[in-house]
Amino acid sequence: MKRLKYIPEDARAGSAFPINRKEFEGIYREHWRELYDFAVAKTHDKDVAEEIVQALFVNIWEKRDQLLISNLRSYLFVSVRNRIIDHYKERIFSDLTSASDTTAPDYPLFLDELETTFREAMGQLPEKTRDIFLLNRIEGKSASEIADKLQLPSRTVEYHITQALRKLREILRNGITALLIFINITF
Amino acid sequence: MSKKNFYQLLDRYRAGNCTDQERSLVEQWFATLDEEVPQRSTQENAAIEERIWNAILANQEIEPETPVRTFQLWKWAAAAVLVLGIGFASFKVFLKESDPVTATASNQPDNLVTYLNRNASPENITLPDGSVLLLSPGTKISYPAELAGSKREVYLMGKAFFNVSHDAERPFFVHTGEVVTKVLGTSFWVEGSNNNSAIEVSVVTGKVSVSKKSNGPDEANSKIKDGVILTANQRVKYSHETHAFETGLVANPQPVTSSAKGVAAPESFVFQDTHFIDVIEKLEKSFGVEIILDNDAMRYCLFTADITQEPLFTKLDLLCAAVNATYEVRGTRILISGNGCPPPR
Repeated sequence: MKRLKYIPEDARAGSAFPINRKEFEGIYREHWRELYDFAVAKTHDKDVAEEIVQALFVNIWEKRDQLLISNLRSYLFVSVRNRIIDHYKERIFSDLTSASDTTAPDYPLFLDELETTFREAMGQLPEKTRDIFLLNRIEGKSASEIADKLQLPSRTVEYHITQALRKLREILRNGITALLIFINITF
Repeated sequence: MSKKNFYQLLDRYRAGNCTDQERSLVEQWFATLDEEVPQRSTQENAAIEERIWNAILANQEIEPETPVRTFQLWKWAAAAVLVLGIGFASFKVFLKESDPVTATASNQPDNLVTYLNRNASPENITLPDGSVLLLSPGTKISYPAELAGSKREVYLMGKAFFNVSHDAERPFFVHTGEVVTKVLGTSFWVEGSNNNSAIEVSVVTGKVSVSKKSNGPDEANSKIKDGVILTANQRVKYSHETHAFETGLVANPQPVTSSAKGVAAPESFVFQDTHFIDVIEKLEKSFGVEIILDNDAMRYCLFTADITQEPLFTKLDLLCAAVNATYEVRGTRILISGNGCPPPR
């Protein structure tokens, strides 16, 4: 019966993605830990982190004929990241339906307020740290590009980026204003 | 409360259609989420590793490789409902990727003619080699003035339909951000928008190969790797954030036979007690799409109807309803599952 055969993926010009079970397991064993840690760090919930990693790999297995992945590690991380954001989305959503959330402020206004909050937090960073952080996060320059531009060692640049993130986190968490939303969502 | 607004923000971000301001806000928020991960012992790690792995196995039948693997594999595939779009939203900052648009610009050779469709409606333009393009509003196309040389190369920003004049000696390449489409046949769509969303190529007729731009500025174009070959009615999405290709079928597949010959009478799909397998073979042939039956007994079913006018997916709906089966699109193929019919005595 012609149709019951397995049709090899002839659409693959250069397969970057394994399809057999053994290789699949190998990918899981190699990457589960950093993905899990990433999810725990962002969600602060081990059960959710387990679910995210599990769902990701189930999805990859199901789609293995359709996916052609050139950079596996970045694919995995971006996918986990998306799932983390979806997790927060769901959490806010379940809050919404129960709470009386009838009068939402104007959306553009909300965006501007949020932006102001971030900008003010940014204003509390030391100047150099802030400049490097902005180059990195807003202009999307890599640490090595920034290092070239500012004639600094890469490691220094990376240090400033880490510092900026840590300080921002502190400032935003202690913030009293619009940042309530973060506290509600995140903790 | 601004929870509703925040929900909307995350929703728009994940849908991949947000503004730069929104993207930047989500990224800033995401960056502040981190909390230290508690230390774990080796035993704890091993326990978690196994627990997740077992959950993955329990979720789907992931069998060891055996000759019958395919059959079972399709069976569970049919049962599976989880189809999550591993997102096409963009994470420029996270991946620290350079903007694909500027990447394109910097890789373009000099002396290009650039044309931008400033109209509100799609516009036809003809290239020097006779190829005809239908440019969507706001779409920009650049190409060498003569389009001479051993290769025909054009640079696209936006969405366009290509009807490429046949010239086997001089292959036709469309550059879109990180993706290169090489034309092996005739007509197809390319969509590579100006923001960082996915690049999409859909083939109407003929055959194209879609691949990542090779790294390194001077690397020969012949070094095409990490790519897929598409034929009529197939499409591929390339995501900048995951650098992955995902193949599938176009939303409304067209008969390949008639569109290749231009205006032709629509092929008739009239069946009278026709064996299911013959119906399927006819659909396969005329749409150039592979259809797989997961149950051998389905070949015995008979089908009677005139489904000439319906689009392919409606044809399949009707067909499946008649024999109590279901279908789903799996990548570039269609899988039909059902219990089938008893063999004739």
